[in-house]
Amino acid sequence: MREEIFLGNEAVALGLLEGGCQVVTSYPGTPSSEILPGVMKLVRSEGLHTYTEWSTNEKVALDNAFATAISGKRAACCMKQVGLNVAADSLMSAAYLGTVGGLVIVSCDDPGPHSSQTEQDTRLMARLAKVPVLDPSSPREARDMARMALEISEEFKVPVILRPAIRVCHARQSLSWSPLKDNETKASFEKDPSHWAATPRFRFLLHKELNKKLDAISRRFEELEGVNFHDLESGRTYPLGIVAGGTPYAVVRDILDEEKRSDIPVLKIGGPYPFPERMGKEFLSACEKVLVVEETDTVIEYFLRERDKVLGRLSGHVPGEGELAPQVLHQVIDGVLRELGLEPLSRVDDKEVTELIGSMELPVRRPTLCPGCPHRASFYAIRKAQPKAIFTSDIGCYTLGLNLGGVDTCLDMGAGITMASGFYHAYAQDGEEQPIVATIGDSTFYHSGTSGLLNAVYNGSRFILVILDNQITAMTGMQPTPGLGIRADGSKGKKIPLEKVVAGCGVDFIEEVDPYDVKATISLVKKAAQYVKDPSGGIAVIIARHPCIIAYRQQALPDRKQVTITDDCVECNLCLERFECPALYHDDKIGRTAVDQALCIGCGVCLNVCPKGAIVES
Amino acid sequence: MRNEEEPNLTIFFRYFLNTSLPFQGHFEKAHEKDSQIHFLMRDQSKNEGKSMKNMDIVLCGLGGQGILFMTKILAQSALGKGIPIMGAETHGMAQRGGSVVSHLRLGKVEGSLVRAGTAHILLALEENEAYRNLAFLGKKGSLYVNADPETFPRPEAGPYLEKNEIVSRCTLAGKVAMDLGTPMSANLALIGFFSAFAESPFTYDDLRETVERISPDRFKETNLTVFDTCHKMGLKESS
Repeated sequence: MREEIFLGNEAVALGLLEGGCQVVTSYPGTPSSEILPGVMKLVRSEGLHTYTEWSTNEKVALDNAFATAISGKRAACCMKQVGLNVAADSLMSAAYLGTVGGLVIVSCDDPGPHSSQTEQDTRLMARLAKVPVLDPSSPREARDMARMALEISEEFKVPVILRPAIRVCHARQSLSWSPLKDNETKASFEKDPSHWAATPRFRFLLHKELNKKLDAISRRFEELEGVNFHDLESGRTYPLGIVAGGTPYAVVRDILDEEKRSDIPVLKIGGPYPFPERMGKEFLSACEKVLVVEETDTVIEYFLRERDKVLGRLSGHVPGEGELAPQVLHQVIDGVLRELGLEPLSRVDDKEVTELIGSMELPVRRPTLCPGCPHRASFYAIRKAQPKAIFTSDIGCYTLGLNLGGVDTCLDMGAGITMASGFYHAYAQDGEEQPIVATIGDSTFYHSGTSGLLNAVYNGSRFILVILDNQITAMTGMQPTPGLGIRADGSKGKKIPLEKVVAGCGVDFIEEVDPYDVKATISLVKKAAQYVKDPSGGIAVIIARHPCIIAYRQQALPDRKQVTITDDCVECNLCLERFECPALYHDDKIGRTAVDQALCIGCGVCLNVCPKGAIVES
Repeated sequence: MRNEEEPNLTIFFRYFLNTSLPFQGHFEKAHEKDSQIHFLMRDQSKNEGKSMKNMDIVLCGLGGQGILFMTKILAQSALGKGIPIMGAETHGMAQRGGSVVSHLRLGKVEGSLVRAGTAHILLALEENEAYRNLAFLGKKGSLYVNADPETFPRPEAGPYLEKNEIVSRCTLAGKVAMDLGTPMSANLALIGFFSAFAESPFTYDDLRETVERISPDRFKETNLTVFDTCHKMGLKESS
């Protein structure tokens, strides 16, 4: 037995391996990105033979894991909640088909949201797909539930979702664990086309079968230790009870313990779907009112069907959006207690400090591209060459190009390209030549760029596409891409150059440039714009290739330049607004722009930016 | 963060070059060692309704300042004493230069987040972030901040700190790190400064030993130099 501190995602990895998972696939995305690396670390240290892969996207990851599972092995795929949207097609069908070996889909939610487009609730996706879901409240539970999910999945022959939310994924907790062993199960797919390739007529029967499985799992969820439980004393009735799942359960537990409120019973829902109906009924009948706290949508609240008893989001007692942070939940519970005329919680007066902080006019710290980031150079050049263009962009570090005025839209993975073609047709229909420049990162392009690009070429759209190739998946913590030719476990994989993929999509204009060479990039964007306008032209693809400054410091920055700003600075603020490097700031003491030498990395790209030539090498 | 493993071309190989998980501890049956947790009892833990046994810490600053490494030093030091820990970190987009907050809870707790108004200690690597996160600190809490003692706190914040009996201690951690030639080591500087005030359960010896143990070899010496320098500065103030 060893006791170590685990990140929640590492705890999930531990649970999966303890559950004998033989294949783990994933596409990175906050807050899920550390699960697969956690698996790889344990595989290394324990000498396991688990297969791991960074798949090109979440659907690919799920399909791969599904095939492993129906060959009788145990498999898992890991993604963030919006990644499950990408894998939804696969998920819905997999629910009907079921599995042979255990299959777990780990989908990490992001209440807040801290690093996502939406606050969507994976539990609703589980309900939609009719797949059981487990909702841990701590890294310790995440580990136990990962293992449990594999077992339930295999026993009932149905995929199971594990949905840790961000405060579980990125929590750290000490856990004790023992050495791990390989699961020796061999792949043995038994052909049964009427099942595994079932036609709609048979799908009806599969649906019926799935419903039966769910009934049985609902009962199992009431028996399993540590999933759904309450602390009602038999025969006692309570004026108020709280039903909570996931992170809010942990917060509620702490608040009630701190306030010594044993008069408020709690029903913990760690398995919200299929809902533990009997347990829910039992809790409702012992309490006059029940407050439901859950993140981020209304799942438990809908299952507790006594409208006049249940307080929550639907009754307006719980905020409809945002994270249920401890201070928020403290207020919610206190508010309900006061409304019901019960003993309130200890009063927290945060008005004074809130007003104080508000009055201090603290600078807003928006996330920004790193000093030396090649994307900054690309965005600067693009905007310089095509100032009037619509800038469609995508999901990654480079979404922060919006700080430089280089990003106008961000919808979902791959939409940099698809929205460019959409805008093209919208304007072309009116006979207008609207310049459009799309940007997308290398990893996002491999994830879901090709189908949009194929479509755009096929349907005659015209725009410039700049693929920002920093040769890594940077935002999520530096995972390799197919363009790098290195696989998840560090072994050599087949390198698939962007140029070949783009050419395969039917693009004729493909040119590469190093964005650190600002002048060359500007003139290439201009050349591409000509090509887009030319009657015999089409879509122009520029591959702006420079390694990520964080991942490849040496390669990205072979020689450092000492930069300084001269008295020629006229405070036009162009460098601050259009280049927006964190190392450049307005120095109130000297009354002009200055370089923060602690932040400056010495890339020297800003030397190209000042119209007065005030940024110089010293 | 130069005091942490510097990312490089083989960043993803880190995962398998390390045969063990990065946060290695060595205590057993933490939950049975309540006696060890008792020394967490202190005046500050008399916050309203707060359990006597727990200690809540919030660390804040800007992305890239090494908040996570600072949290790791405290977490590992506590773990070495057999204290259960829970923590919450910031990853993803917020890390790119934005405000970063890290929570560390010592003792038996379920949730990873510190509730506003209840933290015992706030460690801030940047002055504005200290104000921004002031609401976390409870009455009689301690504030350690990388700021100029001549000008901290801003006049409008003074009365609030006084009224709530918050003890603020500041040091120019960033400047010390810069003078020692490692501008990115302000985190080590602040922890070194903090170590001079013996905020139980953290002792100077434990913190220094943790820094020595978890710093990658090539930063070990620098990290310890920065730590020691600021520890001495703190001693002058605490004596």
